[in-house]
Amino acid sequence: MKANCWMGKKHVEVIDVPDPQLLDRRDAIVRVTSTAICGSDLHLYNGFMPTMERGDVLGHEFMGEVVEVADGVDNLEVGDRVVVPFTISCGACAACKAQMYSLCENSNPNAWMAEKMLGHSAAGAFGYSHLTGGFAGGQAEYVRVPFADVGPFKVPDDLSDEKVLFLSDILPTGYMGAEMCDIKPGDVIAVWGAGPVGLFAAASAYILGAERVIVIDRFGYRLDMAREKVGAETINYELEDVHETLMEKTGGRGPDACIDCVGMEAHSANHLLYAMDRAKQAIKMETDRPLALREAILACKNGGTVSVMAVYGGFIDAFPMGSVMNRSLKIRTGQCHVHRYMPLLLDHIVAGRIDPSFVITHKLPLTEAAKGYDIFLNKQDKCEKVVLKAA
Amino acid sequence: MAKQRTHRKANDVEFTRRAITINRPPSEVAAFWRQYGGEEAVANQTVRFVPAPGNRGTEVHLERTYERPGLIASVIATFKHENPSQREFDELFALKQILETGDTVTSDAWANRSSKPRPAQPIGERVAEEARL
Repeated sequence: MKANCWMGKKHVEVIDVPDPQLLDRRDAIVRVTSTAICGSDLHLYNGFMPTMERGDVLGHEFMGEVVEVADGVDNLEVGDRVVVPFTISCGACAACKAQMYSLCENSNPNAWMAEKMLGHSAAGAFGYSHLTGGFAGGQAEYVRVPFADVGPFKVPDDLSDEKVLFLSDILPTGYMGAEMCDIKPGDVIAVWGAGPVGLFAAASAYILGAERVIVIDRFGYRLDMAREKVGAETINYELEDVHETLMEKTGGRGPDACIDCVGMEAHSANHLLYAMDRAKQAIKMETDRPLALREAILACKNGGTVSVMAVYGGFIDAFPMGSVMNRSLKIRTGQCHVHRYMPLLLDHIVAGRIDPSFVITHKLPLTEAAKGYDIFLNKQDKCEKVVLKAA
Repeated sequence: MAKQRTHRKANDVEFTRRAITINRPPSEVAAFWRQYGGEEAVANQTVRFVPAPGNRGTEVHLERTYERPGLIASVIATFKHENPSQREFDELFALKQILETGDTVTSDAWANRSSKPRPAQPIGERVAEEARL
């Protein structure tokens, strides 16, 4: 079969690999119909995530049709149309029982590796380095899904792939980012990053009752999308001072909650600060550039919440802990517990409260995955989200 | 899952310990260990099964002593994914997976069951057949 593989820094290639086989008694094989390139795939593409091997199949946002099930899976049948969460979860450990699926204790065979870097391991994940288990990803024609009796989520046939594909990751991720803000009527929420997760976080904040949402980015076309598709106010950080503008927009209080949807490869209008973080990252003094996170912390109102949904891989420098402590800020974060949110968000899609397909700007065949990565990375042709059609 | 590992070294003896919490009752965990994991205490090993607070199952505490390997042997063991602490991790992790999920999960990178991971891509039918055996 064809699969998109990581071949080195800024080099992906669709090559022929063996078809997946059932290996464990709770496996299923899914024929992928649609898969997407995630912003976090760009961290792999850019070489910022460790433990990648040449030939790794990428992709953790995918959906398709069940074509084979092992004898330990009794809730799926061949022909079922499913969306698959990006984390792999056993459903039986203490974390899964508490619906914290991205912390599954049994799904990462390389947990020992993750422990060394993170202290404890999180769940295994599809196509996202060997630190998360070394599972082949979904940017392929077929994929093996472990613990298939827990993960794959059946979706109605009358909803297009484009409407439900993002239940696999970015829609629940954005929603969880907003939910962690404990939004109350009258709240003003600021979102750093107008990529797909940022836009879904903004849309979710409105669904959860926010009065106003302010989205911050540097790309005009993405801010246009935030205004036109989500109804948010916007700040272009290359044209306006973010802190000053947020204080002006909130009567000096600061946003009630701030959501970081930028993460480890942030940019900044302050070129000196950016250069310092870029240099530290280059010489491994820090693994991530927390420019947006620092800004979010300093802007948040006293006693407010900073919700971190963007990906951070390791260590950051110059973290404003004094601001967090002295101003009683709450920091909430985590990889999304996708399984928890899928039924609720499907209800929102069916009821028409959100149509996630608005973020799709590019559709390409799987065979053109390399082109998709290049377009997405370089924000060519007003790119917001690339969907690859595998079938 | 709370796991800890420390190394203590005295003379030529290396002491390792590791703990894991399994979301099953102590009686079940202990019975399974006795059936498949050997005696509770053998010459170089002690294992304790302690109820985890808050009805969180069973804490398994495994301690072992080893003759300290030479530097070269130690480097080779680490390279081959066979050093003592790695073996303890693998054993306890497998115990937890089997008791909680009924099986151990296989990732594509480790599907050929060798000591060295391969790229995360599907394995061929022949290797899959061997892995299932």
